Amino acid sequence: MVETATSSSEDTTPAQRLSSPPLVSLSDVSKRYGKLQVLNGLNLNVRPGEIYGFLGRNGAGKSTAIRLMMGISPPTSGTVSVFGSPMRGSRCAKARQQIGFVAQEQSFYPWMTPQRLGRFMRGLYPDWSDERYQSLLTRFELPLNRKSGSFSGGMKARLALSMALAGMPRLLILDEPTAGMDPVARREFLSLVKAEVTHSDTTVFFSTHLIGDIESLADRIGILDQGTLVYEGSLDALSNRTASFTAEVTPDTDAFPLDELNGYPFAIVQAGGDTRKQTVILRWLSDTPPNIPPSALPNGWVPVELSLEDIFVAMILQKH
Amino acid sequence: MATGSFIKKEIAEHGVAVGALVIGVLLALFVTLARQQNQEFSISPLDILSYALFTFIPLAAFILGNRLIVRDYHSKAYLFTESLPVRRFTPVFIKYCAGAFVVVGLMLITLYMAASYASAIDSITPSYFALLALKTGSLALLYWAVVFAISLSGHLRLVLYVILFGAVYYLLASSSVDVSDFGPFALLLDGTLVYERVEIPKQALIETWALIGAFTVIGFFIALWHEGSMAEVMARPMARRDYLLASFLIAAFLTLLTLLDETPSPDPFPIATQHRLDDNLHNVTVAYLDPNLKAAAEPVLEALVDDITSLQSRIGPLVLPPSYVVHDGDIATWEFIAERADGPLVYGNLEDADHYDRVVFRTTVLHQLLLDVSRGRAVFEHYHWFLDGYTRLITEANTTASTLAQRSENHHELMARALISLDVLGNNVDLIYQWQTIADKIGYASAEALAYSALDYLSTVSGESAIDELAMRWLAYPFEADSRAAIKRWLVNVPTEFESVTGITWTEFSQGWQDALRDAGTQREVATFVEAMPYRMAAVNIVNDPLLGPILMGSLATDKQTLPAIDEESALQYVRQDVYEDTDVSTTDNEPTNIEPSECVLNYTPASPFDTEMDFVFNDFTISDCQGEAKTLWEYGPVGPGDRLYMTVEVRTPAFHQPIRLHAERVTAP
Repeated sequence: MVETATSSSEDTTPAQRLSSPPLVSLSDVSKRYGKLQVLNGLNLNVRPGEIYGFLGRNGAGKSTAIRLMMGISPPTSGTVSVFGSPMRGSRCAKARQQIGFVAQEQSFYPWMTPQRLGRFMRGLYPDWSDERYQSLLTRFELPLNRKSGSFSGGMKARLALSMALAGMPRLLILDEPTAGMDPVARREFLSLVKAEVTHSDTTVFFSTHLIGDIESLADRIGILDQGTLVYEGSLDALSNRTASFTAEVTPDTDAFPLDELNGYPFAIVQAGGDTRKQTVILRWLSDTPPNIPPSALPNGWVPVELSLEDIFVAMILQKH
Repeated sequence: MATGSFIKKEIAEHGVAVGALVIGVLLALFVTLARQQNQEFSISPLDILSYALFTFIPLAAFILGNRLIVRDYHSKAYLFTESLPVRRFTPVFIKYCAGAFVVVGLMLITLYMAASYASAIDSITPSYFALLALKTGSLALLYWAVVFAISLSGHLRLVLYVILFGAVYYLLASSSVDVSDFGPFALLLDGTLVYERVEIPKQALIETWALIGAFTVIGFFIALWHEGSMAEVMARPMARRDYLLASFLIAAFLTLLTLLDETPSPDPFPIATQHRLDDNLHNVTVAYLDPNLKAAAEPVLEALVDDITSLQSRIGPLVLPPSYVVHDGDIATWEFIAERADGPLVYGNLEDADHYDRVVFRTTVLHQLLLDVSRGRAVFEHYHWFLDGYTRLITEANTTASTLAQRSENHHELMARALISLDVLGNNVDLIYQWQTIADKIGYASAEALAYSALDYLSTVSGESAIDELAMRWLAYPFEADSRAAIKRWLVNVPTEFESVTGITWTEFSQGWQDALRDAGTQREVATFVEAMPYRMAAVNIVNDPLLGPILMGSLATDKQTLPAIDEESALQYVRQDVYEDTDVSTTDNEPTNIEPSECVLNYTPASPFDTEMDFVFNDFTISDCQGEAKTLWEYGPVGPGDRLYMTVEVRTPAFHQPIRLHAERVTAP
């Protein structure tokens, strides 16, 4: 079952964004390779104009879901729609004309220079802008006449982003583009993405297993685990609905309640510790996250700040 | 628009390489065609099409497969293309078309060039050109379809190429499987590939196109099945299990070949008559239909047994196959038909043969026997002269007191024949490296005499034991199946081996033998034979009659003042042969008959390249037509423009038992 949440930040999203039909929609999608079930009843909606972070562990099925969105693979069951139409048959190629794609592993024709790649791509994308492509190459400091096969991983990713954006896409799909990059290159790449899409209507679907990437970019996230979406909503909502408490174990320390605190129901996500220290992570079951005063906590317990990574890990562990 | 992008991409990526390939092929074609035109025994320029289909067209297909397909899969560019706004089919289809365009284009360029050259001496009509284009283009497209499918097989492609080449080689070499009538084999291996002008080989073309379709479908199936995952998986580097699979496939293939190659032994030759004589010890049978022929058959069997015994005493025991001799009263006494059943099978006329004819017959049987024992290797170019000479040497030597005089006469006739043939050949006579060419020019009877004279000389300088030692090494060496022994045998240098056995170099021997042969011409007995040969030079020509078209002409020349007496039977045989037939079709059944005392007779056997039946035409000329120098004696025609003929002029005189060939030439009707 997918947990969904809205947040105050999402409330500020333009009304038309919420009311307009999703740009990408996966409805009860399953994908199986032989005996291996990769996606299992996946439901997912990406709305126009938003940056959607697609989070999951390695092997969770993120890349498979993206191949389905791109129409590279058909689903075993369920429906994949992009731009309001199912991705089937010849429709896939047509839809891809409006999709910019940056893959995890860049495999352009290695003998082509960025300039020649630009000429090649111009014939494939009707809205291709040479001007934008050239400006992106300049901005990303990419040599025009060097074979792409000799580029570093970061350069290839920037080249892929340039090509993806020069096609003037309605939808930009990034499949773990920063995997394998060093922290500096990663940060640089993300800032480039952010800068390029901030002033455009481009919808971004950004898959990663690196929480930091999501935090800096995404309006909304989906968390995928073992082919199933376990959370879809805003980052703030995810953060607000999760709380953690810790206590030094002394004779005076109270036991932590099991299902309710100060009248607010919750579910234990993770609980544990040793004879000296105990920690509890919980998820509030109410729509509005409660504001619990320290005095309302059991004796000896204090609140702990959680990072998004902690929350992600806790959610995955809870499911398992 | 997307298609255009991919086409431009392929041109940008491969244009220079393909351009270089085309230029290289054009240069090679120019050189080959130019060289071919200068060769004495040149073949049609169109024959280069067969050469191309065996060499650079498959090579070009292989190179293109690697460039167009393998390279893309190795660089994982398919991951890039599958995310582009094109159907997965499109880039693969463009690659298929690009490869087909280049390979078939190269074939058609080759055809155009060959046809341009050929048009100088041949009539290349549009329909003939179209037929050639259809056949050669289909074969070229098949090559590409095969390479296309295999190139998409990633790391398995090398294994598949090995299996493919092995299978094709096996199918062509195997005696148990006959594919010569099937599709591409029928097109490629038929001698009429480039000479058939009218008939469309529909069945072969349909089968070839079925194969093209099958390989094309397999290629696209690999590329597209399960979103290209099959091609993607196979493009990855080989893992341990892939090596295992490859080893298994090759081992299975070799095992299959071994099983298929177990050719059953042929059934014993069915002898339909009860009249037969057998020698079970030497495995020889002589069969005849008429019981009255027993008296003629008995000495034949006896002589053959003596020959085999003599052969075994000289080179050691042999595993003897069954030898069959069957009487055929319809053929000339000096002619024999040699075939193979479960052993040598020779048809001959056992009646009325004189001693010379009988020796020729026995030599033929021994020749076939050694051919069988050596599994065909005795007729390899380097050893063939030795086989011909050695078998004749044995049968001539195997004589009795009653035939001693005939033996001497035979020897002189052989030496005279060899001497005349040496004159026909000129100075460059290399027995080891040009035997087939020599036999082509002077005929097999004279070639045998030439080899006999060579071994006769060798016996005087190195002794008979050296000749027997060479026979053991060259004609009866054990069959070695393992590769090491085969390579060792392959590395043997024949002249070096000759020198190590005989003690003289090959050059010394060749020179000494030819000098000795010319000296023999001064002997009265030999000179008598030579003198009995009235003509010494001959020529053939084709002239283009404005009204009739091409006409064949033959002429003879002599330096003698006196030609054969008019009451002497003298026959000039003019032979027109099918150039593509191995067998000499000229000398069967066209004995000059009913010759008037005042005439010389001209016989010829016209056989057009595609005729299976022969017509025999006899032209008679008065003897005065035979006299004089370089006089045109005979003409026949017209023949078809572009007909390619192998023509010989042979002279028969009563002094010699067999015709003597004075001239051989390949010509093309203008």
